[in-house]
Amino acid sequence: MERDERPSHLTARDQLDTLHADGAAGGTRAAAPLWYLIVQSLCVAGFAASFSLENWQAAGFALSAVALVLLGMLRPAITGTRIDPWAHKASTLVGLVMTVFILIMMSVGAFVLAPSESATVLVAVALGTFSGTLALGIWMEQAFSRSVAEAN
Amino acid sequence: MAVEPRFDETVHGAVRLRICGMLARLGSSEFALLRDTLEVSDPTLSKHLKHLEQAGYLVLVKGPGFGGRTRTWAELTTAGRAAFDGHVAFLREVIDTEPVEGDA
Repeated sequence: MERDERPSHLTARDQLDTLHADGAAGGTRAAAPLWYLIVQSLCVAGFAASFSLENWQAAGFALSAVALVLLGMLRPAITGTRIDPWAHKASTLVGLVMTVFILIMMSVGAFVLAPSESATVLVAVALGTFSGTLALGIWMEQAFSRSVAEAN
Repeated sequence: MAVEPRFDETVHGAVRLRICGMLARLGSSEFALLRDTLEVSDPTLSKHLKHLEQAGYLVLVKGPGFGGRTRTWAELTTAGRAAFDGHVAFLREVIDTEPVEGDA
């Protein structure tokens, strides 16, 4: 019976091609949308900028942290899948670069913003953190999409 | 570890194979994502998901969604993953061992 059900060479090739195409479509759909990355970057910029808040530093930190955690919790509902970029090596590497960048910007925030009252410095740090995080976030999602598409 | 090629009649159906392929790549996924990516109707997807669930190849879990709607999530079981991997290895074996007439 098994021999009768055996697909032909062409059927087998068609099915594998279809699986490959589905993988590419799935990779695109599993990536977070741009608005999600923008909100994520705003939260991270909030971390760095909160050093300028003097007595409200802790509140600024807490608010950014809560927003970031909530965003992470909402990701499966937004993308429709529980897989995330940290599940693949290529996107994890970009994620590590992003983590290092965020730590650097936090340090910059701590050492530059705290003693300074200049609005220009605040805007520069916040904007730099936001744009860097957004660029790395987009890169991470693209690496994630490729990894999902190429997965066997 | 090498996967043993094995034809699986349950996975072999075109839509079911694609469902397993999506779940193998994405893990737990929502009904709407599968429907939209595979471009099938709700009843068609439901039918095949139930078929795979009855075979013990996936689990369906209902959870809360936005606006009070219930969302259905599907996830491959270990048996389902093994059946899918075995079937894909079988398809590759067919391609490797059965050349098409006229192929150089």
